[in-house]
Amino acid sequence: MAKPLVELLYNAFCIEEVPPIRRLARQYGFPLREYNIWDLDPDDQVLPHHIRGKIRRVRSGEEGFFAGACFIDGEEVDWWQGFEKPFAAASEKADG
Amino acid sequence: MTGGRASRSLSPPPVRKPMAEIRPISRADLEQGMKGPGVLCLGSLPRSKWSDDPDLRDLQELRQRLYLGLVDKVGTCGLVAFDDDGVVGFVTFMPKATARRLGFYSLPGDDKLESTLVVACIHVTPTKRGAGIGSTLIQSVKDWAADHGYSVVEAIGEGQPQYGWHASAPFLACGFEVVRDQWHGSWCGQVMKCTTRT
Repeated sequence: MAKPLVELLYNAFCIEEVPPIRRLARQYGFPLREYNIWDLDPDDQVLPHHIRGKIRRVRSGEEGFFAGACFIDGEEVDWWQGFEKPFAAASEKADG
Repeated sequence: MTGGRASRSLSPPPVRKPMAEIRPISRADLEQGMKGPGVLCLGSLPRSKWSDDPDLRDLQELRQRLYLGLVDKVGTCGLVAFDDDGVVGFVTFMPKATARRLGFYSLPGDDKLESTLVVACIHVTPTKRGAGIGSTLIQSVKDWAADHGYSVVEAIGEGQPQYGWHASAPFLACGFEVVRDQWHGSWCGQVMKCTTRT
């Protein structure tokens, strides 16, 4: 089974959680794509649908505080609950 | 009777040293660094303090660039409080239009984007808490905002200690009101705002 894809959308003012996610992606061998929200246009059709949707929601003020967002295979991980468990779960799922 | 009056007039009023001086963060602060127990994340801004961790270094450069961009655009990116020990606290802020682009919390609605200031972070070093430094910083933000044409200040805080984010209480004591509770996954913050004296 293919390795889960990790996508990290970050706010460069809140960078503390980024290195742990990078390390976890390396540890599990998951491919990682990173997006700096400052540089992005939510109308850019090249971006995945869930990334565009997230940018729109946080920029509208509907989602409030945005430190960053981590998606594993398109599913958002709860930023405030740590990343170890979701990565481990994704790994188990991928290993079947 | 007159003697008592004279003695009162001869006694100088007690001089109370201010708890901390407040001033805007400058480009030099960001490039050369600041010293003091309350410098926290601002302490890692100058290039000389960047981590050797390759997973962090590129991000530190990005963050530095964003802070310097704010200084160039609006004159500063926040205020620092300092006393004889150096920096003992700080508050960072940005125009709401910038906060929106970064995805920082801000209240919905596109009115007053240019005339609203968003508080990003406030911190007072633990050993200096309880002396009113946080309240002074918040009041100073309101004054700075008014002086620079911002009619509204928005902030977010924790109503109950949960994640270690700054508390709502000092903002409420300085005239902010809670507009709504905002859930972010498992974390809930209180979004607040106040008008300035403009």
